[in-house]
Amino acid sequence: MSMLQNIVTIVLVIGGTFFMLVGSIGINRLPDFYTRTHASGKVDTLGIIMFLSGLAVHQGFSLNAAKLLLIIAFMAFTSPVASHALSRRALLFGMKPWYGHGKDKS
Amino acid sequence: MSQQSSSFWLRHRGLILQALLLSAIWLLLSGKTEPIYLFWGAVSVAFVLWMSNRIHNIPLAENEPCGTTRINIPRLIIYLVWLVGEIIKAGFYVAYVILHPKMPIEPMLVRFTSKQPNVMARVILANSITLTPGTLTVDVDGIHFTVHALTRDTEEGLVSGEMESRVARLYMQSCKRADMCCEVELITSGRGR
Repeated sequence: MSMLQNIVTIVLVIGGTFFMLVGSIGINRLPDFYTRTHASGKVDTLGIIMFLSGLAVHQGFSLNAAKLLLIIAFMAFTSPVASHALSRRALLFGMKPWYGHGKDKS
Repeated sequence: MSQQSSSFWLRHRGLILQALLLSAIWLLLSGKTEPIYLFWGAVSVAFVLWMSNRIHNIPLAENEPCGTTRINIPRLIIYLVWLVGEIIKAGFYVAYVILHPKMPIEPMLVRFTSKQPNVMARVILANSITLTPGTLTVDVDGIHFTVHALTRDTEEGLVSGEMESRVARLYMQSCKRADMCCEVELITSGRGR
């Protein structure tokens, strides 16, 4: 466990936690369903990817690191599918997107 | 001889690559090299290959079986590297928008038509749109895409057609950027629908 490995691990894990926190803040701050899906679908994905790559760096070259990379790949593929499935159902159900503070340009 | 082997490679490329990938995943997840584990691994890979070979003949859409097209692997690798960069940019961009005190969002729906060569290209495009900054694929109906964009900047990046032509070039030698993203329609207020 070298010094550099420790530093990279700490930076990646703190960055990942930060992005997951921002994703949760976004879910609370953004105005409607679709914009909230942006927050959960993208910021959270980046957060989890950073967090897990930090853990992979901590493991070094080993079987567990390869397994973590596999989890990262699956996360990156499935997260947009989940966001798409949710928002598609919402649109087909008739949920209207939010377009701004009453400034109707028609 | 070489003619025959190259055509064998081309015809069964998908199966061979799938077998290699599945074996790699088996070795990765088991982490053991005793003969009994390798034997059961080979049995599992063969079973999955047999199952998915049957799935290849089921069409994804009308008259379009998914096993007939071949993706360009070097371009796919370049594309994946580019896509990882886009995911990181997307996370930073949306995080910036969320944390900005005034939240400079201007959400809108964008409808456009993209003449992608086949079903898989459309799936890849829809998935990639969701991963890239501030855009979210809401609906795909044939060649018509409905995308939710978070701000006007992200909408401009979407209709420039860069990603669409990148995806199309995974399957085709060349393509015109104008074909890839046309009939753009913006819905910026509740009245348009």
